[in-house]
Amino acid sequence: MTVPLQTTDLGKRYGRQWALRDCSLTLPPGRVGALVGPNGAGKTTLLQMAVGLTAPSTGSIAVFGAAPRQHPLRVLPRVGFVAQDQPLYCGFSVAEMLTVGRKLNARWDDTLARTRLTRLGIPLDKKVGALSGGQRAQVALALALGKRPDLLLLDEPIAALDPLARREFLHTLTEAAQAEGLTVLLSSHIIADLERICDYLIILSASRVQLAGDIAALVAQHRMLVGPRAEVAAMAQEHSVIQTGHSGTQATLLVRTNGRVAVVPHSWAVQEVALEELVLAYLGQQLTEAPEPTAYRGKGVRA
Amino acid sequence: MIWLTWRQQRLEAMIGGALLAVLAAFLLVTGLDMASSYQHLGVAACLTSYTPTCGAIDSAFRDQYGTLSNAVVWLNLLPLFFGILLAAPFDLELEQGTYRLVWTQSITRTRWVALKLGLLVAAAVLISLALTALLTWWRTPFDQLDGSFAPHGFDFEGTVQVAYTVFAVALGLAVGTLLRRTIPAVAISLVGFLVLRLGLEGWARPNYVPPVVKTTVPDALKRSDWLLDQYLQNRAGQQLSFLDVMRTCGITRGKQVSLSNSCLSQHGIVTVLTYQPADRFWQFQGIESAIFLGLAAGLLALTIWWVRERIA
Repeated sequence: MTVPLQTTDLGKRYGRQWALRDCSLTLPPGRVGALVGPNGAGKTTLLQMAVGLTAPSTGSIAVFGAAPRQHPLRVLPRVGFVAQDQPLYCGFSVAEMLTVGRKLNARWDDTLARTRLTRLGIPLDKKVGALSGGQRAQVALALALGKRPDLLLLDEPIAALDPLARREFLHTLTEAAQAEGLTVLLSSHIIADLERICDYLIILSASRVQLAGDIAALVAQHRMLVGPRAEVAAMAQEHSVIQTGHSGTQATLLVRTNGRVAVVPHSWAVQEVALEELVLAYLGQQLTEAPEPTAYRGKGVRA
Repeated sequence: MIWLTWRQQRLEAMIGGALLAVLAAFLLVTGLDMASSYQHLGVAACLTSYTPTCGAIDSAFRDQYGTLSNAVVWLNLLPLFFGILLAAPFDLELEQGTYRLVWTQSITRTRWVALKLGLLVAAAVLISLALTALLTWWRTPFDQLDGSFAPHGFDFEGTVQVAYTVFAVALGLAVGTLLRRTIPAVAISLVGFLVLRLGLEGWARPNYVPPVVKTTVPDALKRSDWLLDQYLQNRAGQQLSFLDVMRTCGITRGKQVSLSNSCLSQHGIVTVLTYQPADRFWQFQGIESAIFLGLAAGLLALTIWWVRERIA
C-alpha cells in the first residue's frame, strides 16, 4: 500500500507570511493521527493542501503517491475531507445532502451513509439548518465516510461541539476507522480527546513541525525530571531539555531521552510524561530552537 | 452536478419563473388589446395610404397606449434582474464556504466551474430569448408605426437582450468570485451594469457607424429611421432657433400662424437631419451584442481562472 500522506519540505506562504514551512512528515497507513497545534499554526493549510484546495508554495505533498493539485482525480475519490466548520447546504434536507454525495462520487455507498445516520437518530427528512451542531458534524462525517475513502482528513471536527456530542462523534469516527481500515488525520487543539482515539502525533507550531511520531514511542522517549533548581544547568548539559519549569527551589525538566536510560543524580526524581504535558512542552518551546525534525521511517521513530 | 445546480437554484428559479409568468400574462393581455385597437382604429390602413383623418387616428392610438409603452421601458431592468438572480447562488456558495465540500468530492473544480457557468449562461440565454420573443410580438404595432431602431424598440428586439442578460450574469459571477461577498457583489454588479448599459446607449450607440446628415427642404424621413438630431439652417449655413425662424417669416408673438413651407423655401431655410438609416438595425444589433458578449466572455474566463488558481 502506498503511503497515504507524505510531505517533503512543504511550505505555504501568503504574501510575506509563512503559514507552513519546511514541513516533512509521513503518515503511515492504518494510523489515526492527531495534528495538534495552536490556532494559526498551519494545521488547516496542511490539510487543505492534502485535498488540493490550496497549492503549495514550496516543496511537495503526495497523497497515495499523487500530487493532489496536479492529479485531483487520483486523490479526491480516495480521500474523505471534513472542512473546518463543516460546510453543508443549510437549505438541503439530510437526504438531499446524501444525494449530493451520491451524485458526485463514483465510490459512494448510500446504504452505509443512511444506516449510519439513522442509527444515530438523525432524521433524513430534516433540513440541515435545523440540526444541532453535533448532528451537523455527524452528517459531515457521514458524507466523508460515504465516499468509502482510504484516507480521512478532518479539520477541527469537534471544536464547536459540546462534550457529549464530541464523545459521540469520536466514537463514530473510531468505529468507522476500525471497520474500514482507514487512515485518519484530524486536527484539534483539544488534546485530552485525541489521546483516546489517536496513535500517531504531529505537533505543528509557529508554522513548523515540532514533533511527529507514534504516540506510545514518543511518550516513552520523554521523561520528566524533578530536582533542585541549582542543578538545572548541569542537567541541561547531559540531557536534551525541551522545557524547564520552576516552583520555589524545585525545577521540573521535560527531557528527551532518545531511548537511552537516563542516568540522573539521586537528588533528581524521574517521572513518566503524559501526552498532554508532552504536547504542551513542545508547543511552549515553539520560539526557541526547534528540535531535530522527526519523521516516520518504516516503523518507530527516528530521533 | 446538474441536479446539484438545479437544487441550489430552485428557489431563485421559482421566483424567476413566477415573475416571467406574471410578466407574460400582462404582456399577452395588453398586447392582444393593443393589437385589436390597432386594427379597430385603422392605424394599419393609414400606414399604406395617408388620409386626413390619419393624424387623429395616430394620436388616438398613442394616447391610449403611450403610457403603457413608456412603462414597458422599465423592463430594460430585466436582464439585470435575471443576471443577478442566476449569479447569486453561485456567489453565496463561495461566500459561505460550501465550495470546500463540493471540491473535495470526486470532481475537479475545473469541471465544477465549467458546468455551473455553462448551465447559468444557458439559463440566461433561454430566459432572454423568451423575453425577446414576447416583447417583439408585443411591440408589433409600435414597430410598424415607428420602427424598432430607436431605443424603445432596439433595446428589446434582436439579439441585444440575450447579450445584456449573459453579460449581467457574467458580471455577477465574476464580481462575486473576486469578492466572495454576495451583497457587495450584487451592488457592484448593479452599478456596473447600469453604467455600461446606459453609457453605451447614450454616447456610443448613435455613433457605432457615423450617422447620415441630410439637408432637405421638406423634412422627409422614413418612419423606421432612427432620428438623432434635427434643426433648421439658413442659406449661410447658420443654425437657427425657432424664434429666429419666426422673425424671418414675419410671425409675431400672439398671432396664430403656422410656419409655411413656402416661407422657409423663400428664405432658403432647410431642415438638417442627423439619423441612422433603418437598414443599419442589424449591424447595430451585432455591434452592441458583440460588445456585451465579448465582455461577458472575458468575465467568465476571469471567473474560471480565479476559481482554478486563487480560491482555497
